[in-house]
Amino acid sequence: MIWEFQRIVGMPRIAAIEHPFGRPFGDVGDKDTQGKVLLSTLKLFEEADRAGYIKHLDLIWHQQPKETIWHPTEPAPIILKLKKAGLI
Amino acid sequence: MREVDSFRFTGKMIKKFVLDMIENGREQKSIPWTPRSKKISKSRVSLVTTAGISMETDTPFDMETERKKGDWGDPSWRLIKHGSKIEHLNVNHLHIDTTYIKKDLNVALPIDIIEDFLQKGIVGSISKFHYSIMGYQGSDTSHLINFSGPEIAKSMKQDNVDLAILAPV
Repeated sequence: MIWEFQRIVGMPRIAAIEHPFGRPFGDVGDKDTQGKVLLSTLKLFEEADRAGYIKHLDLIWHQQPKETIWHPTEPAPIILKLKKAGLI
Repeated sequence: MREVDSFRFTGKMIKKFVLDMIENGREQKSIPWTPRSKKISKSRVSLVTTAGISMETDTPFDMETERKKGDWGDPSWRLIKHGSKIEHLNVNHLHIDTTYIKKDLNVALPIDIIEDFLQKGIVGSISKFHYSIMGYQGSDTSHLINFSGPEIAKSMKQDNVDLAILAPV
């Protein structure tokens, strides 16, 4: 989901997508977008001509960030730990 | 083409945390590269998710140890039989809202979509199993790199997989 991170860890082919965490292929029931993401990703195997190739998928999430809920209802343990240590 | 904004939905705190991690991380100097050997329409395809999904008959990913330690994620891996329905799977991931996956598995692991692609002749065949790991690994990725990764690769080879799509969540 974070192509900058995939790049530094050495992924050979990267499809960058601007979707919220938890739903990389699309929203619930949105088979059209799910199909587009999977097909675009599969096509990378034909398009990529070098290691580290990055393709930015031109798909727009249907909600604005403020309307998009992706956080878990229970804060992640690392968040609690960092807060307890005063680091965030 | 417009560059994807990876942090459009994350908020400033996570953006800073991840960018610091990227800045301080060791960039791989050598990126693995295996050229495609067959057309996609002739290839056997497998899916990999980082969503912490497991078959209901299997041991779920360990969330309790992560809750206790904080800076730790279950480094093991699971097989998910192709054709599995969400009713027969567990989803254990403490960093995302898993309710969406529980409503529609295809948002993270598009088993129905790849099956549709098989029927349309877009892919040649589908692996017997797909694979899941836990995306959050804390500061120690050694088990994932040295054990889980190679074990998954071995399993894929035994199933004659040509192409693998890894989808982080």
